[in-house]
Parts: sequence; C-alpha cells; structure tokens
Amino acid sequence: MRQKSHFNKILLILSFLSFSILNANDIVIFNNINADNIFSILNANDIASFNNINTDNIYRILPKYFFAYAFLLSSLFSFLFYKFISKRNNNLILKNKNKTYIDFEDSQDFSKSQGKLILILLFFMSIFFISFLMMILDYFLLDTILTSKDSIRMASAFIIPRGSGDIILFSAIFISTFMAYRTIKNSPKAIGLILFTYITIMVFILSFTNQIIAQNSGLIVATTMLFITLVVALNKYKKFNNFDTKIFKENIDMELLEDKNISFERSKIKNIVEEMSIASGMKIPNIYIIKSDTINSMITKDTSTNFSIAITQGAIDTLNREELQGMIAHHFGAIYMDSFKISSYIDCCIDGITFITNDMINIQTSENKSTKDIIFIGPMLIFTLLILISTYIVKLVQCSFYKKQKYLFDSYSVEFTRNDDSILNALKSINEKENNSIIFENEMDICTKLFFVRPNKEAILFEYYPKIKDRIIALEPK
Amino acid sequence: MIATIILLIIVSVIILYIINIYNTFIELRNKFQNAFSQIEVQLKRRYDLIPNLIETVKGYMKYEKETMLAVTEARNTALQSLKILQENVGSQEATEKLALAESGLNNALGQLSIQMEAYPELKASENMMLFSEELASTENKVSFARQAYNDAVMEYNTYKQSFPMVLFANVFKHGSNAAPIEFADSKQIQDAPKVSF
Repeated sequence: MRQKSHFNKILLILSFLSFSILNANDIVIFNNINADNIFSILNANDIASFNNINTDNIYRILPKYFFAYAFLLSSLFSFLFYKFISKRNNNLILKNKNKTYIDFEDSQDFSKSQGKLILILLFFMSIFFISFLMMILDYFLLDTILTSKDSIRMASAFIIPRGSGDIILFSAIFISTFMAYRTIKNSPKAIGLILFTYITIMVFILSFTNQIIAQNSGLIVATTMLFITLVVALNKYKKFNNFDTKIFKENIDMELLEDKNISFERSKIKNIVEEMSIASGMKIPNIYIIKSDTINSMITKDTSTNFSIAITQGAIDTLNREELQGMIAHHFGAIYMDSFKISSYIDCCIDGITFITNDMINIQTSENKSTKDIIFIGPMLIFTLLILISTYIVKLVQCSFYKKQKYLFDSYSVEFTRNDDSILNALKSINEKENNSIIFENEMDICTKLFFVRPNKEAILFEYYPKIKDRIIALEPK
Repeated sequence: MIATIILLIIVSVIILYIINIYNTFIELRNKFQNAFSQIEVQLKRRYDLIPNLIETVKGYMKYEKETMLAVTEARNTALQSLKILQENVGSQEATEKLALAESGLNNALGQLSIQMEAYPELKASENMMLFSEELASTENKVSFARQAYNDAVMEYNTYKQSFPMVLFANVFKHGSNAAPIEFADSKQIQDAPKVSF
C-alpha cells in the first residue's frame, strides 16, 4: 500500500554499519595491549580496553556492546512484528474499503492493533530511560569509582556506559526508537520531533564532559532545529507537488464526466464549467461527480497545470443553473489566483516552524488521535510549553489566511458571473439545513481546505472555513 | 569607483524596468487578442447551431416560414461581419458592425422563441430541450467571452494610459486604444427617454 518498509530496511543496514565503525574505533584507540592485565573477556577489543583504565580514557566496552546489540535485536524484532501486523491489517482495510477511513497524513493501518504497538513503544522508552539514568549515575559516581580499588572499577565497567563511544550508543538508541516510532506513525514531523529531542538531550549530557560541545550547545541545537524545519517543510512541499486527484478517487466515491452520451443534467454541468472557464480565461478542467446527497464542490490538482472540479450529485439536483454558476466560479477564483502555490508555501512554512508541537495540537483538534502521541510528547511537555503558545499563534495566522482566501474567491465568483445573486443564493440554500455540506468525517490535511464549504464537521480550535452566515453577510448588498 | 558602481546599478535597474514595461505591453495585447479569438470560437459555434435549430423546428412549425427565413438571413449577415472583424482585430468600425448584426440575430431568435410558445409538444421534446440548453449555454459563453475580452481590453488600456507607461506607448507601437465590444443600442440607452402625452 505505502512505501514505508524500504526506509526501515535502510535504517537497519545503517545501524549495522554504525556498530562496525564502533568496533574499528575501539581498535584504533586502544591499541596498547598488555598481556599482564588480561581479564577473561570476550574479544581482542575488549581486552585492549580493559588494559588501560585511568581517568583520561575510561572506556567500558562490554556494557555498551550489550545495550547496543539489545537495541539492534529488539528493533529487528519490532520490524518483523510490524511487517506481520501490516500484512494482516492490509487485508482488514481491503475488506472495509466501503467504509472510507480517510487520513492521508498518517498511516492508519495500525488503528486495530495500537495496543500491542504501544507496548513495544513502552519497551523502547523504558530502555532509553534506563540508559539515560545510567549516564547520570555514571557522571555522579565517576570520582568515587576511580578512587576505589581496581576490582570495583571493573565491576562498574559492566553497568555504566561512558566516553566518546556514547555518541554511537546514542545513535543506536535513536535509530531503534526511530524505527519503533515509524512502525506506528509514518510522519516526518514525528521523526523530526524525536531527532530533535535526542540531539537536545545528547548535547545536554555531553556538555558536562566535553568542553567544545558545552560551548557550542546552543548552536548545535539551533542548527538541528533549522535542519529539521527545512526537511519537514520540503516534505510538505513534495506532498503538495505530488498532490493528485487520485488521492480523492481512492477515498471518495466519484466518477469522471465523460464527453460521450451524457444526459441533459450532465451536459448542463459541463456547459456551466466551460462557461466559467471562458469567463475567467482559464483552461477547462476535468469534471467529477461525487456521489453524495449533500451540496458541496471542490477543486483539486491533477498535474501542475491541469485542474479538476468535483461536484456532488446533491448540488446538481438541488441548485439551479445560476447558483451552480456561482459555486463553480468560486473555484475558478482559486485557479485564477494560483492558490495551490500560495497555500503550499504557507503550509510548508507553518509545518516547518511548528514541527515540534503540531502533533500536540492535533490531539486537541481531532478526536481520533489516541494516546500514542501523548506518550512521546509527554516527557518534553515542559520544554515545549513556550513553543506551544507560539504554534497556536502561527496556526491562527494560517487559519485566517485560508478564511480570507475564501472571501476572496467569493468576490472572484461575483466578478466572473457579474451576478452577486448566484453565489449568494447557493450559500443560502446550503445554509437552509444543518450539515448540508458534509461529505466525510475525518480531517484530511490538504484536502479539507479545497472545498466550497466545510466538508466535515467543524474543528474545535482551528477552522479553515469562515461561517456561511458571515459569507452571506459579506456578499449581501448593503 | 563607488559612485560609478551605484550609477551603473541605477541605470541597469531603469533598463530592466523599461524591458518589463515592454513585455507587459506584449503580454496584455496577446491576452486580449486571445480573448477575442475565444469570442470568435463561440460565435461560430452559435452560427453553426442555428441551421440545426431550424431543421429541428421545421417539422413542427409549418406556418412560420418567414420568421425562420429572417433567422437564417440574420445569421448569415452576422457570420460575414465576424469574418470582416477577424481580419482587423480591435478596430472600432468592424466591432460596431458585428454588434449590430448580433443584435439583429438576437431579435430574430427572440421572435422565433415567442412563436415557439404556441407549440407545447415542440418545447417538451427531449431533442429540443437538449438543443435549447446548448443554445442558451452558447449564448452565455458568447457573453462571458465578451466580458473576458472587455476585461482584458480594459486592463490593456488602463496600463497603456497610466504613467510612466504612457511615455513608452508610442515608442513601442502601442499607440491606439483597443476597443471594447459594446451594446449596439448603447446610444439609445444613454439618451434620455422622450415622453410625450
């Protein structure tokens, strides 16, 4: 269904590679093998390391290896487990294809087995916290260990990871947790969030021992943040660029209006669209009919130059010719303004800026998100509180942008039809009944913003559509 | 040294601005010419539809041959004046001529549709319904194309007449204004109605 397993494979290979580098490093650093102090340990590297223990190069390899391989194995298992579950869930989704479950942002394949996956996640989290605790323990106990006798030092070597190789250990932890999270959520925002958290914590810890990192910690964190912002924004841009009507076809029941042998009603729709494209001086888009009784319509992008307009069957049945003209002219306003480009820039910037807190806000806005987000975000709640406030403001700006855009398209509709009653009456007839325009239930990222009036139920915090009443007031002659 | 660099920058900016003005002239002219070709297409489509309409109506309306003849004649005159206008786009005289012929055709078609009221079975037939939808839509398309053309002409004229483009308009051979298509009876509309008791 989606291409996500490839990425995991690459990560797996990468983590293997990182361990082989670790091995090579150890040999280079600890090449002072002394036959006198040989402890009964596993391999040549380890022998080397246990040879020279002093305050300058404490390097306990065995526990590090233990943890690293534990991570690797567990990530391997989780990967296999994930494969197993995804296969099972694909079947489930095929069976339930009629019940449309729309969410393009995240993989919803795991909605049925979330419980199990949360358990895996908790396992990884617990390992992470244990190693984190060890790092702190190591820092505080270091002096006492070093001043005590050799045997105690050796014993401590088995439980406390420390030194420059810890960076690699951390990356191992990172990669495994990364993979675990990917099994649940296929979102670059989440990945960015984890990467950012890890790097921040790493910099924080390493700054105790490494002066250079301590001096440049702010710079390192800021650079990572900038980098992730860029990656997330570019990813969103890619999404906009690859946006296609196919996405709708998979999830909404709609059919293309063919040229040959069409009925009276259908030829009317075709004529209206052609009329409006002449009035606006734009190309004639493809026309789709959505099989729904509600009154709504939307504009989508086929390629960068071709557009499609989809109209519900309900709209064709209830609205008269003039009202349909007004409604379709609204979308030609969007084509005329090249609104896809503008909104892609706006959305990319905002997604990039708010990558840390976007998921937290989504928990509030939609009811379908489960506890899986909270587990990850919980530990860094305090850290992100400030960013949360700024995110809220930025999101409000985004909403007002989309709202203003709708008003603008309404005015374009009046300009193209030279008739302010057409769109006004269309809005009034939608406003007659409650939920007269609802096509689907869930939030759909980009797709929700392309309709004439809101296609799903009203959002709690962030509303991209102005109220129909307000639009009517704006259009009515004073 | 710095002064010359600044001078060079200023000169290059001015040159770029003038190039931009020239390009915008071309762009806007092409836009309204393209909009005009859209009117042509739709008008032709309409003229092609009319013989078919007459064919459909003939079977039902046997006693209104004069009206049908009038429609056909008006259509032929309109087609000819369209051809004249095609040869010189934007000319005031040819545009007025076409508008006159168009209003003549509209009158004749109006007459026909009034007489069609007397034949309910003709109006109710599936063929006629599809046909009248096509005709109505084509008429709409003509008026929308005209609207788009007038908008483009207005944009072009406004750009041409505003400062500083007005200084370059003659140099770039964009001297004369483009003519929007107006109502043939716009003079009558503008004149105050004479009421006599």
